[in-house]
Amino acid sequence: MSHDSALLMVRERGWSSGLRNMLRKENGTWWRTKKCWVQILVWLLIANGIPAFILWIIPLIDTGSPLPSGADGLEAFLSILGPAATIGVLILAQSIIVREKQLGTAAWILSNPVSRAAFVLSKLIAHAAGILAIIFVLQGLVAYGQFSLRDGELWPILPLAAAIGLQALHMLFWLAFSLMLGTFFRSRGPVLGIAFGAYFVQEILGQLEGLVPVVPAYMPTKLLALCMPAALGRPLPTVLPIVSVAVSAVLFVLIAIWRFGRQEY
Amino acid sequence: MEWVIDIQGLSKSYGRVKALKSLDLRVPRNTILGFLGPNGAGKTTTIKLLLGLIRPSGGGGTVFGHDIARQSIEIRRRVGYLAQQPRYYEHMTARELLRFRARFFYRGPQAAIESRVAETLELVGLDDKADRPIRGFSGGELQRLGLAQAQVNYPDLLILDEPAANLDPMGRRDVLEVMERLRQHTTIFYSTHILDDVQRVSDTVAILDHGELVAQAPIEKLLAGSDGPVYTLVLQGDPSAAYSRLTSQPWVTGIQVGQKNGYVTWQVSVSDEEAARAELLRRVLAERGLNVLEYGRKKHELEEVFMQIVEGGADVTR
Repeated sequence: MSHDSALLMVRERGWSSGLRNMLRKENGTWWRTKKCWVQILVWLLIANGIPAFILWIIPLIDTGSPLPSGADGLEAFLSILGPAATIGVLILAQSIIVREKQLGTAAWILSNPVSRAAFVLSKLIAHAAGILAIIFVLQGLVAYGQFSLRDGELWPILPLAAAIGLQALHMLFWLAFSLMLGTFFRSRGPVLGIAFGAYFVQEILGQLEGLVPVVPAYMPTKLLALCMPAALGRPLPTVLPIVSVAVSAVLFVLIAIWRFGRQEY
Repeated sequence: MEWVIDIQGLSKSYGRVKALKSLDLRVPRNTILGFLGPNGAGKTTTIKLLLGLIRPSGGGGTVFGHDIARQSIEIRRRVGYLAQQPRYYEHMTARELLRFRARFFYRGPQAAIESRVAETLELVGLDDKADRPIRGFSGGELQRLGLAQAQVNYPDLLILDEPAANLDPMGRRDVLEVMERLRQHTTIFYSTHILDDVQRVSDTVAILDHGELVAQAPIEKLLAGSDGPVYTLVLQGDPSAAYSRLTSQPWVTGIQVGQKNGYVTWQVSVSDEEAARAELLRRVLAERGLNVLEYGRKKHELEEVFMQIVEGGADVTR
């Protein structure tokens, strides 16, 4: 047994210590397992299934009606993707941190040269990337193909990308929120309960815009309402939800890092 | 002397419960320190404080000169740690787990990392199970994997929390053998309550009780006892005349008489060891009809010393 001089030491220091290795591991849970294919198939069905039904199956059944256009599919696609992705993210994210705490693997990881910020950020980045790629980019491309095929010409890609980008930001908000909750609790119940509670409360508040005039404008639900105008290339009525959701997501991540940094293992 | 671990006044409280009370402890380089204490004495708390897994309530210390509260990442770069109840990613194989841990320290080249992993698996005798998922490992295999993952970065300090707990005698022997092999490369700080193991491999012993350090000394010093040199004899025959002759010697401070398998036993406490070595046996053998079946300088068993210290009343060697 001897020290091997051929080995090159890692260079990461401070908050980024261990980040690269943690990211490699976390990415592996998305891309080197069957989970990847299962997620692709499930989200293909959820996000593109109903638009496909509207665009391709209904015309076969109801031959008397005028042919649907790509825009009909777009409306279905965007109205399903946002809420479904949120619910999916809340279910997926509830255990990201809590599971590691329960299993004791968090304590083992933290006995290595890994900063607590790197632990939290690796979870956030890897899961955000996985969700973004499978639920938003891939499904967006399939939807883009469907709409273009239906209309017989290529759709303008940038407006659709902008709309999907807004939905992705919405997803990031809920992912960061769930992750933050995971740093406060040691079991999944409160994480899932609070996250779903918050989601449904802001959905209800969003419906009460006339009664509570100011608050709903900041709600993430209002971000989803911007997606359709964005996809059609129309000017956005407000950017307030974009700013508030982005700022809140960053805040949640910072709180998660602070909280995780204070916990004892 | 170069101290690997140097802590002063370290304390940890959980609410009103004081898990560790002002601990002072120094561990020299390239030694094996057995950290002893009954359950709940504060051993694991101390280890977690050294690794930055928990924060001290008071006091502080350094490991390799790095502050345990503020520079724990730097400390962990030079440490290998085996937890009391280690938990790993069970879907990983032993090789994958070691590779994962190795990459916290090394960025390449891949072949050198793989070689290090293979070498470490061989060291703990897991090379034939390297590609099996961890979830199927027995307790002994898990413990050996724990040692392997702690060792894969060739740490300057190995911190082992109850490394031989829950192992059968063969497993314990294997773990101790691995520790023996590692001692030439690294300082080992390990907690245990298996006193035989401590006696076998440790250079120094620290005893913790109710969150307080009650003894720290080289193992020989601890085993020599604190009540002066004592010689033990097992005798056959009537020892009364020899008893009188011995008690009249100025260097004999006391004789404790007992029985063992029908024979008389003496524990002779002496004040002058040189005189005892030269005279004691000779004076006993001078008595006709008295046979000496066993004779030797008493060496305390660690268990005896430990019980004396923990149950109170013994001199504390610090």
